[in-house]
Amino acid sequence: MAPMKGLTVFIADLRKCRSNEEEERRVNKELANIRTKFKDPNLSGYNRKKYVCKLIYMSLLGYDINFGHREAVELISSSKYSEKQIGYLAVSLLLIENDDYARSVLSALRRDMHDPNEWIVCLALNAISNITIQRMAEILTEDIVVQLLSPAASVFTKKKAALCLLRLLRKFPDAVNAQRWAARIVPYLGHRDIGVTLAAASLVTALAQQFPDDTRKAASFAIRRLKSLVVDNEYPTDYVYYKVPAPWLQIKLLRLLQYYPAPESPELRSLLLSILRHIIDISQDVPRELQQMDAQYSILFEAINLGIHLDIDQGLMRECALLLGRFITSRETNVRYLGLETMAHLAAYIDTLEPVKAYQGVIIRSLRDRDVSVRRRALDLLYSMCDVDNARVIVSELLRHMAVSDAALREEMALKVAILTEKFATEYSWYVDVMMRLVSLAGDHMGDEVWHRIVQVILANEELQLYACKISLQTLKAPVCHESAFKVSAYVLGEFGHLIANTPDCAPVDQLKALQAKMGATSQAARAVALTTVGKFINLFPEIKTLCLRVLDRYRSALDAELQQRACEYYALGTVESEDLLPTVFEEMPPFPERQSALMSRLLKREADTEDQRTWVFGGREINRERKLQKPGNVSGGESTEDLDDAAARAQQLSDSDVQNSALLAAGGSGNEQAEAEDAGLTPEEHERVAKSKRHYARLLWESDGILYDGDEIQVGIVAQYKPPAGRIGVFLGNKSTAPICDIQVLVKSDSALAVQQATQDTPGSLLPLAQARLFFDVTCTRVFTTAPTLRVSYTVAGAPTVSELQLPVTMGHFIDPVTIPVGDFFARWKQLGDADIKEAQSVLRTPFLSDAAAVQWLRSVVGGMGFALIQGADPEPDNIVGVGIATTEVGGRFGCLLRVEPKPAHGLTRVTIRATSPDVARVIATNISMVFESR
Amino acid sequence: MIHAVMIINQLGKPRLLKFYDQTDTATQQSALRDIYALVSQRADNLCRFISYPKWANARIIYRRYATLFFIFIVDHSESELGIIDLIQVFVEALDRVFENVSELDIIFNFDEVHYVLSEIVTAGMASEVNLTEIARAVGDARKLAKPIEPSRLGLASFRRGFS
Repeated sequence: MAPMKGLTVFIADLRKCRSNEEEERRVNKELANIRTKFKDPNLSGYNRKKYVCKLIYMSLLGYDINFGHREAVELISSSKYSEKQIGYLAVSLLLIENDDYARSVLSALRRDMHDPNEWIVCLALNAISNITIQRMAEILTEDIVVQLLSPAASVFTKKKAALCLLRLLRKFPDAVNAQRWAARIVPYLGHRDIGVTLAAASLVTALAQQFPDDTRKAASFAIRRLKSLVVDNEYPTDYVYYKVPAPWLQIKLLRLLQYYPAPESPELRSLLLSILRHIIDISQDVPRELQQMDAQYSILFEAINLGIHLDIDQGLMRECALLLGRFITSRETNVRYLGLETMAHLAAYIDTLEPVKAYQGVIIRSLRDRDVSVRRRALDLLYSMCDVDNARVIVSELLRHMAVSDAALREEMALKVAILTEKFATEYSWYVDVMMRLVSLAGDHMGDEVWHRIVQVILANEELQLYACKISLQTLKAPVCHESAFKVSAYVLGEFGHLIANTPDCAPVDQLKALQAKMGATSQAARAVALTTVGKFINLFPEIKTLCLRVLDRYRSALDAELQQRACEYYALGTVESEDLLPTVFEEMPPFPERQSALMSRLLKREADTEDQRTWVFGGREINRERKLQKPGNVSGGESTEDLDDAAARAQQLSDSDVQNSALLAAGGSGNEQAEAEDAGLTPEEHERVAKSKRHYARLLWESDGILYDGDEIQVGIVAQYKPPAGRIGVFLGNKSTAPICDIQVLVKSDSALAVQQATQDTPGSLLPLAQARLFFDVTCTRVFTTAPTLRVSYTVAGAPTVSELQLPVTMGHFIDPVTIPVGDFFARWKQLGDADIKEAQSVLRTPFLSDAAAVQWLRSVVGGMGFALIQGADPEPDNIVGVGIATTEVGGRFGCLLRVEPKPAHGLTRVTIRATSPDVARVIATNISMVFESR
Repeated sequence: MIHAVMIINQLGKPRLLKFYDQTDTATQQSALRDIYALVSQRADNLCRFISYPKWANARIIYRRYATLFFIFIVDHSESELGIIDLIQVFVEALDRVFENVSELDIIFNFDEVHYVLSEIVTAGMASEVNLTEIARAVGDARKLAKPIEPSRLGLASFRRGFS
């Protein structure tokens, strides 16, 4: 554009201003001037352009420009290119809030899209990519698609059209109807012009996430294009950037491939591997020049990311790990940063963390890097690579750094420490120590979630409580006590102070004094917690009631309404003459219901939705799997599925005996005692009891805790936790009778393929009425087993010996971990398994209850509870559920399991098919599911 | 995608602000202040990537050329080094279009800087990276927009005053 004198002078004027006030005066004067000029009906195009330019400049400086839109629209409609250009620049920089202007912009755009001059078309395309009006997407998409696909359009237009479409697709996915044209874009990945290919690759990347099927061919296009660039060196010299051929295109294609699974065709697979190798090989010698190094490394990092994603070649993975190990010690800060980030990606995918752990020392040292960005990445990586073995080291290092780290990083560090400690704690004392240190160190930098969570955990774990009390008292007695630590301590002592009351220096009066001493210096919120503790003390320790009342009395006249209210109420409760009021009100808090840790949600909240889906997140493998589970479903055809109506019709023909059969199977698993009883013929009352037991057992096939047996005298509860191939089963024995139960003996008998070992000390010999004992058993699944172990409980109550034999809900199905696979992959694998051999178990079950959405939801949670990752959207029939899991045994290997549940509510039937690499595993799962359905 | 491109001088004055989502002036200016505060404090030997906590998942990627910071704010789907390269292309393209570009060229021809950028980045995505192609596109458009009134006050005088 030719310089406009008025504009140049204006800018120069503003630059001369010495102060902000002076500048503001000049701007206001100009704004007033422009307003008057705009009123002139005979304003020339040149002047209009000049004034609009001034407005744009003022908006750059931060002045809010709320007029001039009409003039901008007039410029757009001008026949002069220079005026049009400024007009479009103005509408894309100044916000359009008024609908009238939006409409006139829209009509101008429509006109210009069909202009014979391609420059004008490009101006319009540029503008479209900058403005977001829903109507625009509806009206113009068609025209833009034509521009992109038309052979007459120049490469210049095609590039812009592709990116415009991408923009509209993201902003208004419903308006652009992308499925119609998605498949036709894919071949542009092979376009001779690199600019067009680059733009098309961006568009295809977005399409690949929404329409994986329509863009299926993109992967092979991308691979071949990469080959021609990387291996065959076919590219125009104009696109060589500091000796590197088209780095952006290489990056884009390598990224695009991360949205697809590894190619199935062996030819493409080996081609892709050879490309990755090639990239890694040429990067072995580090270029001297900075720009060349940046370009080469940008490709290399993307290649490593793709290698990690594909996860098909162990050698390549090892090589990547080695390279990354070198990068994280690089002298270039950029490279260290990217090395740490990419290594976190590796840690999120790799089967065993050993290759990453080899660099643990270096990574920990990176927490002290001079660059905060690098420190942040080191924190992310440590969080991702943490497991049971290194948790102590990592957590203690993080705590050590917490004191000196930046405020910005501290909150995230605190959250991560809290999560890791809870996740990997193997000793209770460690958990308590770390958490108390954490709240003391970082209390100011974290939300209430952390201390709430600590209290929740302590309440839920009886073993923690005694130790937590001791530490709490110590914390209160220490010279300095952080507010959050104070809250935790006060809460814990209020609940469990009695546990340490008989220890020297921990007498009730000591506890109260310690609390009182710190109370004065804390905030209102902390004092409120402390008052409740004092109230609880009245109940726990009647001997110090007077002291407690004295404390409360003082707060009865507190200025803060909350404190005053608490004090008055507790004081009144403490002085009422009633035997059971106080114990009832101040009863021990029940454990909090199990729910997702608020810490996790807090951390994940930081991950908001952005436009391209992430292919991975920081954190271990589990979280990456879970995350994939939550992704919205995609359309997928998969294998042509057998018509379910057919199947349903067939099922109708099946004799009742078939359905009966599965019922028998179900009964077979639910305890020998009952199975035998069933043979013997039962009274209705006994029938009811057997059915109840069966229900209990079936429930535990997909839920981790619950009641297993509920008799007149004893109750048996189960809490199970699995980390295949191992697991820990907690057995809770409760005495429901009014007499003590003596001579208790508990014995677990199991198949040789399942090792069971009692983990806790000896079984208590006797239980008082209403008392409860817990026993823990460690189970390890060495090979596939088909019979569930039995739990034999013998005891004497009121002189009568009794034996109960129960089936323990520990089956092969419990050793399944969820595995997420791309939506498109499911049916390919399903077919593979079906073709290979019949390792399938199928049953058609009666499910009259599956009639409403709630029941379908229930069904999903059953499948999820059994350890399968639900692959949403993989099955073309939306009501069907498909899942993937992997069963792990210690020496027998791992077995992939695919599951498909096809409910047919109209017939009250559901077909369940399991395909697994082991027929026994498939059978056990099928049996489990039919039992669950049976006893629903 | 690229959320925004900024050129800020070392005193924090904006020379170019381009947001690829429509953003009101107040938000733009507060982002400008935040980002200037983050970028200007960083020593040369630190890396050129910073997290921008105010926007979910956003990262600031910047390079410094003489008195100017060239800053891209991008989401996680962009390659960091790829953007570093793209900034270099942007600067080289400006250098070609303005023949030895200076801060003053960028101040007085802010519109043209936008046109150059729009060749390199369209809709928040890299669209052209070939310098010849970029310079040709900008040059052709320049020819189309023939001067209406030749200006007596040429830029040359300002350029002289600058050095």
